[in-house]
Amino acid sequence: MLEIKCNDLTIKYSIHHNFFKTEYVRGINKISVEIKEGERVGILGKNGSGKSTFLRTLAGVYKPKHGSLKISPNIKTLFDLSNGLDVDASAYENIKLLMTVHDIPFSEYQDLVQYVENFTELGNDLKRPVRTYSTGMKLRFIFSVSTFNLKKAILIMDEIINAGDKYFRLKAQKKINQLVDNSGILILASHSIAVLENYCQRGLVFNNGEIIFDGLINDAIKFYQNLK
Amino acid sequence: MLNLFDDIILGLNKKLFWINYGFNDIKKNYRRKFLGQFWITINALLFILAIYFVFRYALADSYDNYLIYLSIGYIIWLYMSGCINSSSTLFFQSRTFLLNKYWPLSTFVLRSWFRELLVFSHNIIIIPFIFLYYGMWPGLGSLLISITGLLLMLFTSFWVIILISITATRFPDLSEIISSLMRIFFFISPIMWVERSFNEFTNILLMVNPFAYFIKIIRDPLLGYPVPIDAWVISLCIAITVMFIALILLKFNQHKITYWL
Repeated sequence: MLEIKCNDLTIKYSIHHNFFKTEYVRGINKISVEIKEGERVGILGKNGSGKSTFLRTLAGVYKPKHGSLKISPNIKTLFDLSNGLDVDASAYENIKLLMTVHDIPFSEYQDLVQYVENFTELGNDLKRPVRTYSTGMKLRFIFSVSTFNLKKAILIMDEIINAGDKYFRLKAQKKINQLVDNSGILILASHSIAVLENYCQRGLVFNNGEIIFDGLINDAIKFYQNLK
Repeated sequence: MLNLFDDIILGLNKKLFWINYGFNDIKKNYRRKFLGQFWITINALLFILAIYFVFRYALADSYDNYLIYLSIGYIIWLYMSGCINSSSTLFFQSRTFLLNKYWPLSTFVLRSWFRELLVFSHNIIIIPFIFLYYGMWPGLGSLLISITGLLLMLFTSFWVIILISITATRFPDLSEIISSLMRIFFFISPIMWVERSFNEFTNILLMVNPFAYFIKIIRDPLLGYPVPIDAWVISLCIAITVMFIALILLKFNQHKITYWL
C-alpha cells in the first residue's frame, strides 16, 4: 500500500555565502498532508512558493530536519530528463549510461534498446552523437529511456513534457496517460491548468512554503487564479 | 559501527552507475582523438622524459636509476593529485544527479575513484617498459611488496576523496587551497629530486609530507631498497585515521550535502 504522510514538514536551506556568513532560507514550512494510494495530486503555486522543494523532499533529495515524512520507498521522479546524458556519445552508448541512472537492470538492456528504437523511430540516427540531434529528437530519446517499464510507484513529476512535434506530443501523451494510470500515486507540479485538470483530482496550492489550499483540483485552480 | 558504512554499501551497490560513468568520463575526454585515451600515457611519458633529460644532472647527479625513480614517483603522484584535485568539486559536479532523486554520496566518490584508477592504469604501462629498457627485474618478492603498498594507497585515496569532497562542499575555499597546496607538494615530494641525497632540509620535507610515505612504500621495493618499515607504519596510520575521519564526516553530513549545493 503506497502512501505519503507529512507532519509539520519544514525544510530550511543554509546558504553559505563564505566561510563566516551563513543565511537560512525557508523552503517549505510546517507542511502536513496525507496522500493515499490511487490519488492524483496537482501542485500549484507561484515560482518560489515551495513546490520544487516539496517534490524534492518527497523524492528523498532533502532529508527533513523538522517534522516527519513517511513515504513508501518505491518512488520514481521525472524532473530533469536529460540528467546524465552525454551529448557527445551516441544514443546507444547513452542507453547504457542512462539505464544506470534510472536503475534499470542490465538484464533488461535488450528490451530497453528495442523499446527506444520503436518509440523514438529514430532508426540509424540512434548511432549518431546526441549533440547532432534536434531538440525534438533529443526529447524523444530521453523521454523514451526515462519512461521505460515503470512499475507501480509514487510518480513525482515537475512539469509534464509538452514539446516536440504534434506527432510526438500525441505519442508522449499516450505514454504519460499510461504511466499515470499505472502509478500508485501521482504528484504533479505544473503551471498548465489544462494539464492539471486532465491528470489530477486533488490540488494543493503552495504559497510562501505553505499549503494554503487543499481540495478538489477545480477548486484549487479557482483558488490559485484568484490568488494571482 | 555497521551503520557508519551504510552509505558506502549503498554506493557499492550502484556499481553499474559508477563503472559505466567512470569509463565514460575517460572516453568523453578522448573521443574523436586519433590516439584516444592513450594520450594519457603519452602525456605522462613526455613529461617524464622531459624532466629526465633536463634535470637528471641537476637533481639526481650520478643516480643511475633516476628514470625509474622519476617515472614511478611521477605516476603515483599523478594518481594521488588526480584524486585530490577532482574531489574538491565532486559534489558540485554531481549536482544534477543529487538534486533529482536520492543518491548515496559514495556513488560519486566511487565514480571519481574509479576514473582516477583508469587513468592510473593507463600510466602504469610505462613502468614495465622502463624496467625492460634498463634490463632490470625487481624480483617477485619486491614486486608483491610494492603491489601491497599500491593497494594501501588505492584504499586510502578512496577515503581521502570522501573527506575532501564533503569538506570542500561545505567550505568551497578549500578547493583553491588544495590546488595551491598540491602544486607545492609536487615540488616538496621526492618525485623529481632524489631522497637519497639526504640533508636536514630534505629530511624535514619527507617527514611532514604524507605523500612521501606512500611513494616510498611503493617505489623503494622496486628499486631494490629494503622494505621501509617506518614508512609502512606511518602509511597505515594515515590510512586508518583518514578512513575514520571520512566515515564520521560521511555519517554526519550525508543528508546535508544536498542542502549545500
